[in-house]
Amino acid sequence: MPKFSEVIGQESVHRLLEGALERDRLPHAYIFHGSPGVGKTTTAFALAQRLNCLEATQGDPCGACSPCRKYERLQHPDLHWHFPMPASVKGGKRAEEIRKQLDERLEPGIFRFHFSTAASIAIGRDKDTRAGSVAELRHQAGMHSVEARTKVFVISEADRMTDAAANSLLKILEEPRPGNLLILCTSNPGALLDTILSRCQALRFRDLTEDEIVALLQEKLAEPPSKKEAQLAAALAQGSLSRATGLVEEEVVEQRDRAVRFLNLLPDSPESHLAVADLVAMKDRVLIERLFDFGDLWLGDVLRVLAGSSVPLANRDAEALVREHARSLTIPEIKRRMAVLKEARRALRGNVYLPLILRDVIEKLHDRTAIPVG
Amino acid sequence: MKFSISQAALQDLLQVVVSAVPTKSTLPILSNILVEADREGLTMVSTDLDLSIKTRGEAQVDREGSITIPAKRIGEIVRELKPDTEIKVSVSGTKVKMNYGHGSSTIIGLDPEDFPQLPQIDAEKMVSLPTDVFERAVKRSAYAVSSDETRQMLTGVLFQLQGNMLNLVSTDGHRLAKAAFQGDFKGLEGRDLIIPPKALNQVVRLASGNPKVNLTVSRNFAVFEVGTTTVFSRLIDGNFPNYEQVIPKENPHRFHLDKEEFMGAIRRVSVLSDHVTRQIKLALKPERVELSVSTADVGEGQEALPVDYTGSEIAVGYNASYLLEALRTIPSNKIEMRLNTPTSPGILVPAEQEKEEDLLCLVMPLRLPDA
Repeated sequence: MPKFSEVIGQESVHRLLEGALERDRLPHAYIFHGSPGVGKTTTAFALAQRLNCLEATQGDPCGACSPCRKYERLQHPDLHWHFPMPASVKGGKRAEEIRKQLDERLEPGIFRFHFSTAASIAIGRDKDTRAGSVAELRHQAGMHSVEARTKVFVISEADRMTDAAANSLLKILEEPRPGNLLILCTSNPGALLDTILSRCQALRFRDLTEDEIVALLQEKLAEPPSKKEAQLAAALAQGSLSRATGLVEEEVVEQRDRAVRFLNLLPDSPESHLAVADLVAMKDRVLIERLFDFGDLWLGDVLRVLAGSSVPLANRDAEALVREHARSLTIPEIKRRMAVLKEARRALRGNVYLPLILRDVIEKLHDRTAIPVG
Repeated sequence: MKFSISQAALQDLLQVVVSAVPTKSTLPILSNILVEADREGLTMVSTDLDLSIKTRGEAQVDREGSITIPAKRIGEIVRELKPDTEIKVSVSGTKVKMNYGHGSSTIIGLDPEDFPQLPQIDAEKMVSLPTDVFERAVKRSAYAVSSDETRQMLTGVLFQLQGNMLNLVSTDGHRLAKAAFQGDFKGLEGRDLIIPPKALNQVVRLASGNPKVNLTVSRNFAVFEVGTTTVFSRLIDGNFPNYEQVIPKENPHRFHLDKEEFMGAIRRVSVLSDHVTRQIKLALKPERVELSVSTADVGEGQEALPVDYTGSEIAVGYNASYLLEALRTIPSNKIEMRLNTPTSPGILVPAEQEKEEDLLCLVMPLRLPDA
């Protein structure tokens, strides 16, 4: 695990936390928000170590005392990590899943969550759903600690708590007890309940720069990408290291090209039926969501060209094609298509029947007044 | 680390600690037992974080050291060996090699450094209770704890140490049990501990055959010492509600009953009660108390018991299960019931308290449909 000061690119957050530590004025709950993969959960874990190091009074934890070593291996009994899990992961499998994710974080390289979009953080009333749930969190928060001065509860993707779970968390936020620190990490703070937002101190994690992402990709990945691949991934990742890593691993150019082809499918054409069948067969909602993301990004670039913006294009490697598309589309039409993709993404997360979403999107994306391109 | 021990002795040690080993945990090391060898013998520790058990036993130790061994695996191997088998254990790195009879096995353990640390015990601040008193204390209080985790402090038993009194109190909001014991509790006066019943039941299980239970507090744990075994229970954080407020001082309508007869009558009458509320009605009249039940679509029943009561008439509704559970913990065969109004708590006490003991059961009434 990286130490407190080693989290890349979040110097201002680090300074704020360090200041709070020095003055011993840590709040009872934080919201760490920012793009996926900019170091929110990593910072939360590092803060837990720093808080409970036996030696550190300033700066980084010592790394040598017994608590430090337990945090470093993510083996500390007073560090609790909660993240969304699909309902199909039940009973003892949930503890195994948490351990698996913890172990993956410890491996060299860049850690990425890979949960289905249907996963959530549940309240966990029964044995089957208890591990990693909010009920478990409340139990632990209501007990004295095992070893640590401060028990730290990290909730990743906190916006994916079910309403019942979020409400059940409120009581801890309303009646905080010394010895507990809650850290809610999210890339979508707007989706949290107002009652939760108002009871936590929010810290914004900035997006990583393209240069930072390129450097990290080349330095940390076991199979480092070429400079060109890394740059394209970084440009497309919008400041998120996780997204960039995913792109590098999953052949970014090919995925982008598929998305562009998808945008231009004719409804009811043989190609469109084939594309829908292919996508449905993959049964991977995350991949399809990414397809929509790429489509969105592409339309954004087309919009930029039309508006004469000087911001560099995300798809700068395919600038000629972007410009070609720009010639055949109008600004209102692009906005309409982006809205169609947004709606489709919501349907995807809402677990709507997949072929229906895809056919609907293809139908709506098509503008019969436009000149076919691509 | 190197030691040898007989199968019987090792089996005994394992059996003591194995009950605290969790089946699944996010910390893999908790599936292991910490084994420490020093000049005086072996120490074994297991924990599920809420409850930890530590025990000591004799062994021939040739080289000191510590290791954690998967509880399930070592348990299964040892169980299959004959009691008089000599087991020689040697550890190098995380490999635990066991030699026995004509066989041997090597289990991969984990670095003991990751094992949760248990607090040091301060022997000065230890108080002691006879085992039978401790068992009685647990039996008379633990039944009334709440299972509702939204009020976590009620899911434990309050141990309140006041001078020469130890009060055990538990409540779930519908009933309350309070058992007070006299003794010498110097060193821990003024402490209020909220202890989960799971740990108390473990202590009762381990205490059988030992004359006394020692209790102390260390860091965030209640520590119970029984012979060579120590049970650490993580304490519930929070303030127990002020229970004294709930216990009425004056309940003027008092009468005595034979416990077994009373329980029998409640059981018979409650057969026809609503299966959720379990409501029965107690109508107190001069010289007798009438138990009755009337549930729509089920039926009705009544039974009268003679009592030594001369005051005014009063009728109160109760949950039959709560009454039975409370009565079951009262040791004497004569009980005293104290009532006030149909909406204020009723109290059950033994007609004669046991020596150095003060037991009280409180049950909240149910509102009667016609009241």
